[in-house]
Amino acid sequence: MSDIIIKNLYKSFGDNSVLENVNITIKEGSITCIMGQSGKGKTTLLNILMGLEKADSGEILNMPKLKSAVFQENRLCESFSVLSNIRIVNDNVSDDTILSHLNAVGLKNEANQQVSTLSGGMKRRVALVRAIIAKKDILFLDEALKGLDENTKETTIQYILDNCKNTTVIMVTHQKDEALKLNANILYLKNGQITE
Amino acid sequence: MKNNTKFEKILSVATALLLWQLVAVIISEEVLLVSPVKVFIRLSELIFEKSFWSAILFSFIRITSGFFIAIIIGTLLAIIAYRFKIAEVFLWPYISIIKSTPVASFIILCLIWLSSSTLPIFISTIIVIPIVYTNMLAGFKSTDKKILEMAEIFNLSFKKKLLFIYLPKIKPHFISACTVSIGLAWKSGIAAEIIGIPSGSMGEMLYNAKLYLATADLFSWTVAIIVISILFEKLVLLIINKLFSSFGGL
Repeated sequence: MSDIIIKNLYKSFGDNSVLENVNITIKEGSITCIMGQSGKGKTTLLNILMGLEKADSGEILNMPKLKSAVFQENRLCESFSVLSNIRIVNDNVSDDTILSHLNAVGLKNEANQQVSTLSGGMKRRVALVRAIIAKKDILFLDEALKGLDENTKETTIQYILDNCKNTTVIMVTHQKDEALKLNANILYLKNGQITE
Repeated sequence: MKNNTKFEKILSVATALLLWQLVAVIISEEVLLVSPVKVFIRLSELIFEKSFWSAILFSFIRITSGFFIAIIIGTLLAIIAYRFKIAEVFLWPYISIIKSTPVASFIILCLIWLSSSTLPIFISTIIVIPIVYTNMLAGFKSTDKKILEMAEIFNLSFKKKLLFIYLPKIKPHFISACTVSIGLAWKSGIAAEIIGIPSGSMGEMLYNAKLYLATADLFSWTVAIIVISILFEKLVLLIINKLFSSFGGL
């Protein structure tokens, strides 16, 4: 594995140019945070990096194959239990391991509960645990702490730090304090271009 | 609340039977309208006849076979149409024609090609396919694209996608397709038997009842068809629910 290099990335939707000549080098095993105003292309950039959208032009080099993500929406299987939703991404993980992860984010008692019965903040944490449990070489976090109260946010940030050592993480957030607490390398997306 | 609904249903059936009895008494002509009491008496005679049960078995095997064949074909076609847009486009005229063609036209046309005993299988199959296809395709299309993206990122196997993503979406559409099509399979299958008159079928019994103006027989056979159709529907829905719940979370 080596650093991920993003070269001359362009993306537009009709006349609206979202990414213009984006060049980034993401260090292997680091946490990189992309910040910027709403609707300015952060999620589009993340989607391109994840391979869910295609760039108009440009190159992405050394992108690892094993990806994991917390999407902007929770994207959980609502009619299944919390345990099932997490086990789905990794067959080799034991129930005890999943329970210890759930315990770390304050959801141990909800393990067997159907996801549709959980609150928004709980679902967000289930989505995060799922992303952490999945086999991965890179983790994408799109506003992963959205909708969490301050106390829960603190414990969840600690959970990410404890479980993402030496994992390449690319995250998107509006909150600078979240990026600082995660010791992230902060990049700003403004007018379609990246600045440090 | 549930008991209340049950009571209301029983009350509505009792009222309908009473109304039927009243009209039969007013008309006082058994050939035109036989009373529910007479139908009940005739039906209780018929159930002790061997030919009654063999006719039920004859029609049941053929019509339910047609129904299950249609479920398989309709589902497969829906999967193909969901996977390949071009297939949906090319299937559209066939589905539209089957949907809008009168059942009687199909029966008469197919009677030229098929034997009268295989006709009910073919007719119930052809009538049910569009319903299953349309419902299942709608189910597949209702699958959230964002959830499918999640499956792509986490490299979920086909089995997991089917179990966790597609089946929960398909379930209500599948149940709806079965509920509608079981009744239609019986209606069309019996219609095929009445026109084709395969020997020993329920359709033949109905035809004979009409031929000999045996109105009590006609009503008794009709009641028998309704009861069997309803029981079969309940059984199929029970099996479907058991099957889906065995997967967990559905």
